[in-house]
Amino acid sequence: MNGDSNAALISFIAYTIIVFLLAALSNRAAKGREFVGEYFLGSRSFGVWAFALTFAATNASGGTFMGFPALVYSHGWTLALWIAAFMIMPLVSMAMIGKRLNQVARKCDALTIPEVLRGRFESSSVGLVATGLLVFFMFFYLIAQFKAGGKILSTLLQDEPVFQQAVTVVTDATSAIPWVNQADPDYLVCLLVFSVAVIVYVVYGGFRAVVWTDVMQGIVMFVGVLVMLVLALWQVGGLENATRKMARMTPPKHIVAIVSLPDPVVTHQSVAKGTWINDSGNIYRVAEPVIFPSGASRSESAKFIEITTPFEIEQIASQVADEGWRVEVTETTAYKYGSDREGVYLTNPGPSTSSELGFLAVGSAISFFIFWPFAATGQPSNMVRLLSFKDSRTLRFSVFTVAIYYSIIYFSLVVIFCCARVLLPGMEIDPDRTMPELASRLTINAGVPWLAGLLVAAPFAAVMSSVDSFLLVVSSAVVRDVYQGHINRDAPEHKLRWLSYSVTVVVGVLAVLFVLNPPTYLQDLIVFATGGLAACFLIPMVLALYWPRMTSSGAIAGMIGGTLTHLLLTCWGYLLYREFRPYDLGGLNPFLWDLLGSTIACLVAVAVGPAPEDRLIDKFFRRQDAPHA
Amino acid sequence: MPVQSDPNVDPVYASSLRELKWILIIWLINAIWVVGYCVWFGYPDEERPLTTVLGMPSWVFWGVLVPWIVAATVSSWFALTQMEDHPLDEREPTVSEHNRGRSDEA
Repeated sequence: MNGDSNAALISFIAYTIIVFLLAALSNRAAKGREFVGEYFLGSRSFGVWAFALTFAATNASGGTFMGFPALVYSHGWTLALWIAAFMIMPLVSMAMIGKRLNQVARKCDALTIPEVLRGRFESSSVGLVATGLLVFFMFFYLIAQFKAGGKILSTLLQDEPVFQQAVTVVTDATSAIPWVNQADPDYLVCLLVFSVAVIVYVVYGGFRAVVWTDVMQGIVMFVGVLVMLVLALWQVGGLENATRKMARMTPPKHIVAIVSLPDPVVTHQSVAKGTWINDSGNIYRVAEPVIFPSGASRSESAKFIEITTPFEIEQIASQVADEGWRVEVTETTAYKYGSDREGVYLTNPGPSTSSELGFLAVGSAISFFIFWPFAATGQPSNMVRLLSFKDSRTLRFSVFTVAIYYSIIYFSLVVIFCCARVLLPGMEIDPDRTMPELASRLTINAGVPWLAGLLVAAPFAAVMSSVDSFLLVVSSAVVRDVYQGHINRDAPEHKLRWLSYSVTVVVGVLAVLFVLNPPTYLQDLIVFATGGLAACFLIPMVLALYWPRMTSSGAIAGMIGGTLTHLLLTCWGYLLYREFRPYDLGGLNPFLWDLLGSTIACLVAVAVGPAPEDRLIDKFFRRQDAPHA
Repeated sequence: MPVQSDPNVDPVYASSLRELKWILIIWLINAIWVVGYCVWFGYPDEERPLTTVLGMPSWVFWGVLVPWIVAATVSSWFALTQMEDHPLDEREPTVSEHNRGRSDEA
């Protein structure tokens, strides 16, 4: 981020200090309250702003500011249709089950989602199955968020001398440690800084700190996106100009090549990722370091992209001189859809490297309109927020607030990163870095580099607000559902306190260890975990809330049925594509098949199992003052 | 059990179920508009020239932005005016709930 990263570093430090202050205030506010209810649910006391912004911020994760921008950049305007269901998401995910879920949780005195299911059916087996599946899927989500946090910080701090010294120290200290030494040192340092910050404030402040920081993070995201929108539109010369330029773009080629220099290098040298090469008017960008062994004039094989859009070639060639480097292409991977086709970034289905049907085939477009709102409804991290509002009026006003908030944030992001296609050519080498690179570019061009701190704080806030929530969901599942629910029901408060702190730390550390060498696309992990959690919880929870005949065996079958379908399609997809993505059976999003699997399993188990007890139907579906049926 | 007309049914359950049905209807109408329009006008057609509205492709404007504004408006209207408030805690019913229960019975 150039030499201006001091400002960005100061912004980041100031931001982190505020987060810690909020955690300290939360800790003080929690004094005198019952520990577990306060630590995991803030004593069910949140009003409109706190509830609305914590809900919005938790949903806006690392995927929103890292994975989603990468997709907009890579595939163009088709992402407007891909994300369009967010227009109806607040109504579906909050209002459809919110009031009823909050009421049932109060009846059961439940603080977690597995506890709600356990209380609704008075079955510890339901609680245990729910806890196990929740921890399993949530862990994938956590590691994706930790990766996003590390990546954002590394872009923010990469040119800061203090940071580079820290990288050197950490590299030396970890060079002999297996697994850890495979991680990129910059990323490793940032991951550690990010993880320590989040874990400390979550442990110290609990759910209340998470909600208060979510409120601040929600505001930071909102302001950050609006500032970025204005700067991007201004620097690209207006949206019309960006769209017209995108209409002339063709996708780059992904190639493997060897670079020849005019003279041999004296010592071992490498050319950094991101470097542009002008070979007689052909423009290449280095996608991984190009190594020249000592005394050689030819490099080892490395990955590049080759720009194919004529006006981009002209523009870059005017800035990058031909220094006599020659690029010998040994392998070319063309786009399976959209290669050499102008206008492909403007229409559906958008270019794709992996599918002949393009990025968003018609079946996928339909699927995503179902997937986003209903998958969000099935997320335990969202559901647990629905347990925390204080009354139904709070829920109603929060739906209104989040509807406006999402409308502005998500559509703006599509516009911003369509502009980024024009402003930042060649980001296909590392699409996940599009957001921080754009923040840096926009603010430097505008002469306000200090603003990069705020803009980068937006995705950072998004990641933090998700990580903190997921950490608490996982640790509450272990402490409340496993330990307090099954091992020691009468555990004293001081023991629960220390167990809660310890589990939060252990879960955080485990996630960090897993994410040291993460997969390329954040979105893969997020889609897997989001789909899995919703497949597991949505149908059983909706039926538990609205169907008096629903039984514990139906809930267990629904959770396992949805999960198995999800895993089956993911394994099928892996075997077919050798990528971590589920198979789109019949061209439809796997989530639809997951829901179908879950629904069938539920209904069959309810049909063949024993009928529910009248006592439970009376408790959850009849007025408490009504005569018994 | 005809939920809405049964005075013995939990009022939060009854109103939530009614709201759930309306939310699904709103979602469905929204889905038909967005997906229908975008599939019809947003996929490549050699004979259709590029047209833009407010700088974005026209299919984005009419198929995403306009329904987005409508959806946000309808969501807000529904939440603020159509969803019912109820006490969510386990406690004695309020006077107004008692009265409504009696009028339902009548």
